[in-house]
Amino acid sequence: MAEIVLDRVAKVFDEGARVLDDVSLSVADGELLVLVGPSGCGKSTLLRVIAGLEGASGGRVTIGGRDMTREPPARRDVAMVFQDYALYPHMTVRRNMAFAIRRQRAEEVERRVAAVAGMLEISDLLDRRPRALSGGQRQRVAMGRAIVREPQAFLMDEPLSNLDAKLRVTMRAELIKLHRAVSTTTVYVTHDQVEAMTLGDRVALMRDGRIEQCGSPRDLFERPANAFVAAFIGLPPMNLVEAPVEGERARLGAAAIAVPPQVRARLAEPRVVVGLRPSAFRHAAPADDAALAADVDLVEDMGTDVHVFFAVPGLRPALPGLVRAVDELSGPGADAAVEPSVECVARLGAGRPPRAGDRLTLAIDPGDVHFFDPSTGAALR
Amino acid sequence: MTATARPTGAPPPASATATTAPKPADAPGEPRRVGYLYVAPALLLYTVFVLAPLAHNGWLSLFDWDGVTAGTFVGLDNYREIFASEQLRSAFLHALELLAFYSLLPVVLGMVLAALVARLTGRAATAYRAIIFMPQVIATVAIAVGWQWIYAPEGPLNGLLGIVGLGALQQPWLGSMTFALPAVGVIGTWITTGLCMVLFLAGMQRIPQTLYDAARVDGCGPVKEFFTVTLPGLRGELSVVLVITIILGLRTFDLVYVTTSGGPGDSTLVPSLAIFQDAFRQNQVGLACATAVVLTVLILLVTVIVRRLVEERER
Repeated sequence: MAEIVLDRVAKVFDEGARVLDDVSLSVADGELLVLVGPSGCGKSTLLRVIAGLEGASGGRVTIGGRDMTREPPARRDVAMVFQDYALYPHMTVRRNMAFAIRRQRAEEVERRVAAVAGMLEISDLLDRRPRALSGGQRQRVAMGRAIVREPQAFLMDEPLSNLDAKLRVTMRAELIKLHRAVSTTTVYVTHDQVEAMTLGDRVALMRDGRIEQCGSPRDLFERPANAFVAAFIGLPPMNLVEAPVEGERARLGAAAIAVPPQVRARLAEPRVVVGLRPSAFRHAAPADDAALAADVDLVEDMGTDVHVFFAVPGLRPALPGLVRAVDELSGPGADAAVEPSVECVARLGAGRPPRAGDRLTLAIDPGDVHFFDPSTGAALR
Repeated sequence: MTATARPTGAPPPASATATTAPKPADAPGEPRRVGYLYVAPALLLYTVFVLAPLAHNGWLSLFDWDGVTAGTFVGLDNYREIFASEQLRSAFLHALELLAFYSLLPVVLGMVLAALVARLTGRAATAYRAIIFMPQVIATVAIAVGWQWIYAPEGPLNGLLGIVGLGALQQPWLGSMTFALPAVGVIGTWITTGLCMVLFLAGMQRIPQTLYDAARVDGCGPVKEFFTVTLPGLRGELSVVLVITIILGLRTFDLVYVTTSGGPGDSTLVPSLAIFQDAFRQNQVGLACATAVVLTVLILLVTVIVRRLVEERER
């Protein structure tokens, strides 16, 4: 068990690509920190730098109070779980698990392998080879191989990505329980924001080699530091539209939203980026004044609720460059059309779901509105 | 589509319910006799050009025959002669000795070269691969002539030894009782190393990088990493490479025929050359056929043993 401290860690590849840009981060003893971000953001590289599989070009990596920046992986006492499990194919499950602790006494190895195998319910697989195991079983063995070592920290590189959706949910729950049981410091890399939100004590959201925000999942969801974080966390993603500010209100088509004075004070021009979670919309009652006319393009019925995609004419998509990294947002609305319009999504109750082509009147919950700077994307609150 | 013509509501045909009835031979999924028709052309050619000559060779090995006049049946006498004849025994021993050069050395060198070339990128890697593989593409006879020149008493090898001050080592390489066989073997090494390297390289590319990462995190140095990840990952290739090179080594003919013709004395005589000489120079066709049978059995045995050893733990 140990604390992991990264102090201005940089990584520049030989071709000159700056993959990590002065990343500072500390993972408390026993904490599970999730590194999340779109592909190419540097999260896997950061994990490999912590493991020692990649050397840092600058900065310091401290594990358990000792400077490990120049130490080889073997000296760092960390165990890694890989996306493809990386089990040695010619060894049985037992030997795979025992491999890293091969220098211990034989009885001790036997005891630890048996204990961990029991914990992961893979005792009856010990004499099989990886090839004879299913994806979920291999995943367990890979976890077991890490746990057996009783290392200072676990480093997990998208360990659930190769599992099918259903198994992934099961294993996610088991991972949480497992971490509670062994409470070893863990750094967990994923591109899946659902995994990040459900697993992490804290979540660090990365983009372009930098940490955009690090905090509890709820923090990132409720108080995103900028429009990128807001757009990345949450499913369906937050709607971001640029709206002109007229007096005390931002105008969203037919609707108007009150802009708090402290936000207005920080605006250089009379326009603001309004962030609306899909859950901020509801069917408008006759009394609502902040109502929006929405022409429904597409309806996804999720069972408990429906996701309604609609275009709001006359609005411009906000910060296209800033949020382009978020895959989900690169929809048709992101490119400038002849007549500007924004594709938005609302999450509505499943009762009488609308159909494509319907015109809805939607009200906006004024308590569930975020504001961002239209040029930098920084949150304004 | 007779099923669609059946009136709705009619009972299904009896054959569908009688599950115990034997399936017709042409039922889906059952092996069909028509399959033999498909393999027939290949089988016919194989029989005419491989199986029949093989059997005929075995039959001839039981005769004392000069290849022209009527032969006399001698049973296993030819086989007895092989084991009694100093010359033929030494031919087989030479073949086994050549295995070190044809098989063992190229496998080791090939693996080292593959490990080195695998670390290169871009044009250098392609160039090295091509250069090292080149001997595989050149006709063996041409190679043999080239090396004959290299090994000549006034040739470049001796010249080089003189230049670097090792003049004492200068030899008539292919004319020496001691060095002729190793000299021929080295040519074999030169030929097969490229093949080994290319096959190992292909195998190494299939080994996932994360296995190396895992090994490093698990505390492996480069050597332990090689024995934990690379070597087990190359087991299939190793088996193939060993079998190919062993066969090449045991049945080598053209190289020896061109460079030394088995000499000086019998110091580089190998079974294939002995078969050729017995059959076409000494007119002892029966003995040659018997030698061929022994060589075939030896090759079979060695390759089976190798495959067992290398692939055993694979299962």
